[in-house]
Amino acid sequence: MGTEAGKLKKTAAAAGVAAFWLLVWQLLAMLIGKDVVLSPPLTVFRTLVRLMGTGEFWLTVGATFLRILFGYGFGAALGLGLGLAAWKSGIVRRLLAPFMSVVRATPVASFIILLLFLARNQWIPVLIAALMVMPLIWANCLKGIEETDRGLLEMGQVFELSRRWQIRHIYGPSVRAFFLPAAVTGLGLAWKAGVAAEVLAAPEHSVGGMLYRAKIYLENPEMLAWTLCVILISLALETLLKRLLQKTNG
Amino acid sequence: MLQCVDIDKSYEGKPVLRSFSHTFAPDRTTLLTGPSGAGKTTLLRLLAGLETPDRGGILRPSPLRLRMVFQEDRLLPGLTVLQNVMLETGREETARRLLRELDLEAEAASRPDTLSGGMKRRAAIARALCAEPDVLLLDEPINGLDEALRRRTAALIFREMRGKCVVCATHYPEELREYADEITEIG
Repeated sequence: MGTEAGKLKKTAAAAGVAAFWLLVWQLLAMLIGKDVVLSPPLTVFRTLVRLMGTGEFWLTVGATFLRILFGYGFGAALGLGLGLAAWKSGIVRRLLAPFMSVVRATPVASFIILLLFLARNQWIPVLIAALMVMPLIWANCLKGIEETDRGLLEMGQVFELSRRWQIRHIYGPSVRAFFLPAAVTGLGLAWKAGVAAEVLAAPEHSVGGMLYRAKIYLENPEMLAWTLCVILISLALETLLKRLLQKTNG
Repeated sequence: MLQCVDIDKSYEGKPVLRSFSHTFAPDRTTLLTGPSGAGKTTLLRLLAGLETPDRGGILRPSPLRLRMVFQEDRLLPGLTVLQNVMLETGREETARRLLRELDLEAEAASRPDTLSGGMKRRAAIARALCAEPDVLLLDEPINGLDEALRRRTAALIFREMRGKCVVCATHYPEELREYADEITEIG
């Protein structure tokens, strides 16, 4: 009963916060008074519902989703693999450290522009998503290995545990503790940067391309509707990933 | 047989062991006594191969199945008590028997973080014994246990290790004296 009441209270509070910000948006739109600059929430929601009724919308969202998810998965796997390589070899680590720092510090727009000359536009969002997540996973994977409980490692040494067993039961939980939050943060980053890459690269069937088109034709409700769509998918993915990770963590 | 030959060991310039030599026979129980900081744990770590001496050496036969009960329990938090005791040995029957004898049978499926300090201690002892080692190094093994459990646990350890090499660091040698073949003062 207490938990039910608590949940209800939490939902009511979240709804209150959402209502407050919708009101702020509505007031701002009224203050500006120009739909081309800032459309009110109701217009944007109506536009989103209208877009959702078309096959093109789902094709666009699906293609963007797959591109970014593929890039994210590739970047995460690469970050993990390079993290392990850097742990095993000091030379690899020294070679990779400045590269990862540069990748993290470089503005995403610079990468997108560079890739416009180097890659096909369908692949640019994939590569950008991968570039966003790779250094994050790399750094956290290494940190997880370094923060592994020395006491347990010593125990593993004295008890002559196999390398495989130590990786699974000693290093694994430590790396997981650092990897999982990075995976969630990386997903948000990859999603946002991937859509930004689509805006500039404008591949066929892309949310970013639709945003660009809406901007060109001064379709503010459409632009905001696509933005809302990006936000909702990002939140849904993050929630899904967090739940998945919580489940894996037991 | 484990043999320490003229060992020096210091930490951050502070000498802990100086010209230490001793032979630990394969069938004897040795109690290491001495004040805190005398170097008992350091000696156990050297014997376990976790530290290297600054000077001198340690002779160990090979192969040698050596296990250690650390001062901290060092149980794997993601595994159950039974899995912690078995580790890679696959000796489930032995593990269950040791848990039963140490009053931990009911905790076999629990995770270490649900155990009391004394239970963790006993699980760590069971883990070391389950491997049926040739050499057992014990660092204050019965600390944190009540008197009855201290007696029972000590009896089990030395019964399981009868005829094998045990090196036990303790602040309370009087409680373990009856099991010792020799008592070595460190420091």
